[in-house]
Amino acid sequence: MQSDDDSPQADGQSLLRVAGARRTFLTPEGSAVRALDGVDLNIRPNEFLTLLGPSGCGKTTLLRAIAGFEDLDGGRLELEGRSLEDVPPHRRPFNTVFQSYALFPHLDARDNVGYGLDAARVPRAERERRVDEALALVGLSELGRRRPRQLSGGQQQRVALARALVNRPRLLLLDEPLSALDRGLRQAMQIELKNLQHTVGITFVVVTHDQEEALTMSDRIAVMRAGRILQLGPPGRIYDTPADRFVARFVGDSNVHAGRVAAVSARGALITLDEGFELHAEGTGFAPGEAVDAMLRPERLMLAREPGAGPALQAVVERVVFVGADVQVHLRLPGGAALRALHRHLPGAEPPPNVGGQAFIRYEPAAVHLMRSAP
Amino acid sequence: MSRRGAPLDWALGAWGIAFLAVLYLPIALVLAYSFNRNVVNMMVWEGFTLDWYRSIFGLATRLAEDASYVHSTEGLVHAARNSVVVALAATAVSTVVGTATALAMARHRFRLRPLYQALLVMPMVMPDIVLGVALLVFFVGAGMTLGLGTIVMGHCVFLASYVFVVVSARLAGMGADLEEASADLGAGPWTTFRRVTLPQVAPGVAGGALLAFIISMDDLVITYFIAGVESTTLPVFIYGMLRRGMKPEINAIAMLLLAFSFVIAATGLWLRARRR
Repeated sequence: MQSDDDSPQADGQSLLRVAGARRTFLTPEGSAVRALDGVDLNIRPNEFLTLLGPSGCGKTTLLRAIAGFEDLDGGRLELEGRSLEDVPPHRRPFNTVFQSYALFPHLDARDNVGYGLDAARVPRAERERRVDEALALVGLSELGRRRPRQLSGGQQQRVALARALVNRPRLLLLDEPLSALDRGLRQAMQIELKNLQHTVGITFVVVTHDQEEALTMSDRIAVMRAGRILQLGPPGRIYDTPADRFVARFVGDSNVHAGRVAAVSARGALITLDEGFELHAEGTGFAPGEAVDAMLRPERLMLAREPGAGPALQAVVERVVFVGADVQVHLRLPGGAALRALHRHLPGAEPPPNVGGQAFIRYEPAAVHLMRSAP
Repeated sequence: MSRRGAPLDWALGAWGIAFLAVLYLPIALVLAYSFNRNVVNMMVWEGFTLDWYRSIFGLATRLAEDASYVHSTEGLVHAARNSVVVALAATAVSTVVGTATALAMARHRFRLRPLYQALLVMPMVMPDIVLGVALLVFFVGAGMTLGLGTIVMGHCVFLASYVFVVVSARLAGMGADLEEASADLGAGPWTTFRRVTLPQVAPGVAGGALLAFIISMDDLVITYFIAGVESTTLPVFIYGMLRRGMKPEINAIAMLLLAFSFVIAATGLWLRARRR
């Protein structure tokens, strides 16, 4: 298993290092917004890294700072140890796929793709060959003579991708690359982007607010909020062991409840939740009396008519929502706490409990994830 | 179509026709007069003639000696040539200045920007007489001889504003993202300007230049103040003719000017259409 420590010192391999990046914007009303509030990040060669967060979290500012379109107020950017401070965007070996694609409307697809090669004064024959290759890579060989407005959204997106990749950048920056596509195409492109990254062997840094997209494509995800990176790691780890309640709620569906560690034993910990119920967790380094947030993923809750051998909570079924492969069951504990559970919808399986009826929520202590209490 | 809406529709239609009539009837009359043979009263139709046009170009006419006042076509041709020279020079300078200013204002943030913007638009709203007097006072005070040079300078003062406004309007619809994309792909500032910015603003620049050309050709008041004795432009020349009495030739000259403006405007539209 590869190391995915957050600290820049932890691993030697680094393509681009972001250290202590700060950027403050002034709003028109005159108040200051910290778009980047001390960001440290180590981008590794050939990885697919996603910057994930809600709008305004600073992810796009970070991407633009790497591309060179935003200056930092503080901190450093280093490409393989060399500072990028005085390097203007057109001298950085990075290419960007813009959210709006920013294709040149007066040039056809071939000339859009060849633009960077022209700027680099690549000889004619090589330029033509590389443009052909890039268009073939994204499956648009037949449409090279079309202007952007004669292409569909998905085709424009591919031209933008080919235009960036043809220059063989050290780093490919993608700003919400799939947000303008409809759902079906977006899901196909997620897989395709991942495959493409594998084929060309270029480091991808993708900005997105779509957690599903991040989980599907990434080697590592950096979850951002309010100008900071809250957690950095592979998708599985982000999903299973989020750093705090914000990450837990932003990535995937979750039940998060605030509480306190009541007791710790060799077999695990007992947590008393503020909403008046108890959870059994595996011992995870918290001391008795410490404030924690406990997370339970809905798919790890099992509904039954009887309590089983393990821990269980008694609840009332408030609502049953059909969401396709699963049935989402909304439950209410006697103390007022609301929980959601997922009930797999399979032929022959036990039908979901009736609305208004009683149910027992069974769980394994290993499914209870404890996090530092967040304000 | 409902019955109740019918009278309103009728009234609106009538209003539209009346509006167009007020707008274009005088011009249609001038067109008719320019072909009227009546020497004494051009408002009474006496028969078709091309004599007024022939007279302008110094061709043989059947008119009495005192019927026309272009005694020699020399003065008219000279004035027309002056106008074209002034318009071309002033258009060239003001298009470059106006476009560069619009780009700077659209792409950069700096202190007192709104103030600069107001100052740039000011020459358009300033009364022509004020601008004319101010330019005259300035040129005389600076010890310059009034002539084509001062007219070109004077025209640039307000034409640059028109170009600025037209190009700014074009830029307002364009984000900086295409220029960022160009820089991102490794193009330096000059390449970006040549290959991305200029092709994008070209329709605005062409529109601004045509507007500047027509306004320069047309300007009377400001030019009247800053023209020297030997540097009469066409509008100033025509105005001088009018003071010696309204004679039918003026109609023919007006029609030729109108035709010229149509050609300019049509060229502009054709160029825009061709870009699509």
